[in-house]
Amino acid sequence: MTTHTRAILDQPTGTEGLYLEDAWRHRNTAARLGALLEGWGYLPVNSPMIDYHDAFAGLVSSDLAREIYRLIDREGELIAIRSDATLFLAKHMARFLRPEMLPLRVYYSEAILRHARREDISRNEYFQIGAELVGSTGMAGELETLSLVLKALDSVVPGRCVIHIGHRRIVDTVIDTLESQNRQYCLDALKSHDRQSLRRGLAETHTRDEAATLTRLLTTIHGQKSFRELTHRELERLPSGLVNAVRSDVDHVLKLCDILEQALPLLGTQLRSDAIRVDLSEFGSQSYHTGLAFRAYVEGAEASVASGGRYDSLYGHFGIRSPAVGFSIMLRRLERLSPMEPLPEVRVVLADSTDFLKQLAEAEGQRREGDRVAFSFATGEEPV
Amino acid sequence: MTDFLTIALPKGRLLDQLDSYLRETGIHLSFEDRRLIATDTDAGIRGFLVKNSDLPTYVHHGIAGLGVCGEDVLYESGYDFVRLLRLPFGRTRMCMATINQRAETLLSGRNDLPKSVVELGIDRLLDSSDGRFSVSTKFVEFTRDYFHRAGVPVDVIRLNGSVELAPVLGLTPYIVDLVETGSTLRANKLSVICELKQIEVSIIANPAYYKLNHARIDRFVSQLSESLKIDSGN
Repeated sequence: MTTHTRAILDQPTGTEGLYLEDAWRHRNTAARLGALLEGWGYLPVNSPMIDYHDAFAGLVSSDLAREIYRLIDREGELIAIRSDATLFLAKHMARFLRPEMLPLRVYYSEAILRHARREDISRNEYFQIGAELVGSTGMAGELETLSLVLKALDSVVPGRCVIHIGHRRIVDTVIDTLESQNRQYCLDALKSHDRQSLRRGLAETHTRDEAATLTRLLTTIHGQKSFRELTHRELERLPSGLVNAVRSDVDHVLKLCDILEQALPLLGTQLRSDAIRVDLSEFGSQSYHTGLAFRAYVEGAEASVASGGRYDSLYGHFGIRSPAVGFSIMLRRLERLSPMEPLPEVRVVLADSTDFLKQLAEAEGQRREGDRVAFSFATGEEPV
Repeated sequence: MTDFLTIALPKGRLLDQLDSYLRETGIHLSFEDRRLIATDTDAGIRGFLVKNSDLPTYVHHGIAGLGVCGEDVLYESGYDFVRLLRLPFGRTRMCMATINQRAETLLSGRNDLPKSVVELGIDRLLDSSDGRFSVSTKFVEFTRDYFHRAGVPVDVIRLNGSVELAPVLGLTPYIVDLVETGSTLRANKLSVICELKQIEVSIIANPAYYKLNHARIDRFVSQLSESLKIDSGN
């Protein structure tokens, strides 16, 4: 063995190769989802693989910042390698987007590069397929996005996904009532569903009863009907100013879930209404989320398989004021849960150099009929 | 996918303490004959007995949906978990310690332990010869983050055991380690000079596992908190 053993046998973290059946399945699934998105009027886009790191200052969460690969280009600029499709796409699209083009529907299907610890094999995700609806302000765009993500997931793992729907502004409104030094503590507690810490943090500002009510509101996962009952029962325990501030967003989430439940049979999915859950602890993993936030989960996957939401100020960061809503599916994570489809049959045509043209004509004829045809070379083929 | 809730349990004392409370809630996980997997079919729960430091890995990868683990180990793992319930036992303290003579100098005129290194006085910790500050510990992530949050540049040396030797043999003047009774420190002529953090034991969950099984898990946590007579925050 040489000193290059590690370089030969190992692979740097942050990317992966796909081969043979695995690559075929991946491309097939991506193509199928691409066709689904195009059927809903979305056009394909490709964002740049690298961009100036400074462009994303203030937009990247601390978690994502740790995962970004950076390099210095030949002019000395700090470059970020694409680690989040939405960010790179927003910056790129803002350069040519004009108000008259809105609403604009685009989808991407591309690799991302993220640092992962070598010993952590669980969440390695290097391919995202997703869609952006740019210029949509209202509930209809959010319903379109949620419908699409459910239909897309159900097409890969039928009847198995659940979606947890939250709202960033509800969380921000509650957090804004707290002393500034207590806000991050409560956000961290909510992110980790730590009810004891959240209630303790909220009780620094609110009464114990209010803190308990807010904790229940933010951390209990519900179906649409039971969330409606909870809010009906518990919102009146909160200060009227806070209730008035969150009421319209709570009603918004309830209405979204209600319509989405009714949409499931129309979408032709195998999902039941209990696949749609209100979960206000889903408030968007990135700092650019502003409203609707959601994640989808599938039994057997150790992390969420899709996420998304509304980010109305993201495009403004890049110079064009436009609301947007979208989602991203971690396709590789999902593929591992779907049954392996049999590879299509390939017919074999014997070929050799003496009669190659005749055999080529025969194979081409069969290919025109839609068959997959491969040449088989006789053993003992003469070396060139 | 099994119908059992899966939980990783740490080998050692913590398991003995937890087991009695699990039994009170009607859960009987019997790890007899050196078995590492036990199932209570009636309660619908399956337990895996794992090394404490490996526990976050099993939960993070979704092999076990739930786990029982100390904050010290969770912090070092760097993974995100759902924190379901803080348990009222297994608590300990993450402390900084040094040799008795230095500790006496640092704590002179005080009746109590400082609650932070800032209160202790950062300048007094620095080595007078080179102005550096170095610490040996098993808990390198925690230690680095703690001192950086306090605005202190620190050299952290990773040790895997017998950390008390480091100041005695002159590797570093200070150590950061878990302290329960302090008897090991005393035996090696060391003293605590600052308590950095109270360490608690929690029931944790893989976030996706929790989202998919939240009703059953909340029920389990609720039963356990009743048995433990603690408030789950619900």
